[in-house]
Amino acid sequence: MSSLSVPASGLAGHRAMAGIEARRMARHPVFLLGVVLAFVVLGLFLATTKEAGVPDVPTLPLLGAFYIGLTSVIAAARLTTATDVAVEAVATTPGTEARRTLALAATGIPAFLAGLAYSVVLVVVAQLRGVAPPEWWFGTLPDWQVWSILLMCPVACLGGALLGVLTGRWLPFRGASAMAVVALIVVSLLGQAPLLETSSSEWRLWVPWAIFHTGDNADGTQTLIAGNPGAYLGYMLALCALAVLGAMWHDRTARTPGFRVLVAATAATALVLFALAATTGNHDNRDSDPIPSRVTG
Amino acid sequence: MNARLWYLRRGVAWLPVLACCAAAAAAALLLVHWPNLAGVLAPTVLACCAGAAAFVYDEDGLPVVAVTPRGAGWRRTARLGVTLLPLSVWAVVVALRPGDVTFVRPGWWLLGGATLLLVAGSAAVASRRLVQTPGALLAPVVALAAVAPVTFAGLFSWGTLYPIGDFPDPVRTAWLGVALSGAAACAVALRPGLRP
Repeated sequence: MSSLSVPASGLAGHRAMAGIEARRMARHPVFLLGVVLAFVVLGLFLATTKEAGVPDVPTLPLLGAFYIGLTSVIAAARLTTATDVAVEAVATTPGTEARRTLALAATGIPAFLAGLAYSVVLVVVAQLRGVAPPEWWFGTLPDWQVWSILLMCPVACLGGALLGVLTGRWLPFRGASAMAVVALIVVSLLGQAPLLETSSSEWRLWVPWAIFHTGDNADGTQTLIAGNPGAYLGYMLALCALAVLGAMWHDRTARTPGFRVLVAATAATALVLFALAATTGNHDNRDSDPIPSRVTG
Repeated sequence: MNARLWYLRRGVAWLPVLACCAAAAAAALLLVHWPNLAGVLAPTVLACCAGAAAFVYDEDGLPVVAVTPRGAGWRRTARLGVTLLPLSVWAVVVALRPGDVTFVRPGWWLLGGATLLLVAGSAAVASRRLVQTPGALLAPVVALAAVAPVTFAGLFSWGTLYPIGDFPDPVRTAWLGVALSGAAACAVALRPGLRP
């Protein structure tokens, strides 16, 4: 017979609780399905592409963010609401709801690692198979910009899980995670698509998932969209932190003056990073040299 | 018939069903303003309708009502009729072609009907296996699954499952396959009794 002993307070106790939540997430069928789908779709794409190199690499983090990130929203929301049926019993145990919420934030760890593995696979395959010389990639873009675009995938996966925790805490009704998933897709789409081809495309960067690369244009070029991907990555991380703090805010006892200052400081940081992302980096959309094999129009 | 209506009025989780239908209508309104984004917004309308169908079999008192003399088969058959509501929303949206998007109506009615049949059948199978609220998990999963094929567009040479302006035969075949799967799920779920 095994026993589970979790210290009631302190860092060791929190670490143990976080470990439990991370393992629950890593075993959740919906999350696992998302991870498998991300790699299967990427594998299919790589296997069926007719070119020797990997085309449109900076667009491919979208697949990981979509499949792993959005399934993480569903899985984390389910894990967050799973204890609601026993909320009266749980409320009598040592520790607060905010502490349990902070432990639930560890559901983001498996999501982040899965997204990171996806990006690593992408880089390794692109290095092994190569990319067409005019592509926006290492050599045509500063390294930090390429890495920032690639790392948007794991950060989006992390954010998906944390949004799931936020949804589970504040919207405990049936279908809340479905609503969050659809809202995330619609907001990300409508928040940026109308701006992409305008002179103010950098102001699209308020959305939780912004694209920096259009894929192939009809004339064989590719467009790198304006904005600073490094600062945008920081903005995404600030949104992740806000999601955790927002979920903890649900516990009235957690709303101490110090916590309120932390929330305000994080929100201000997010605003500053958004302003940096929109006002620095590439000021205009830039087209690559045409890739002859991709000309369709 | 009156007994069925009485049961449906009290037994169905109308709030999530109607909320999803309202979300579908709202997404269709977005389509009026951004018809050039129909490639994503139309699947979003479908995702909301599919979410509504996923909630049709939610019943907190399932362990009790499943063993009443009237039988679980009667209950499941009655609930399947509620799928007509999201199906009607979908049919109207496709018929009205918001934003003058050139949907090929028969094809888009087929893909919506096939999706809703599969979702309702899956929820009914879950209900048969005594899952009280299949919609809580099924709705977000089908919402995601309905939009997922959009990510294939542009990546693969085989095109899109949501074609606008034309409805190729291979796409029709794919959706007929989905419809057949849905019909099979419904046939399994609507047999009398509980659990296979």
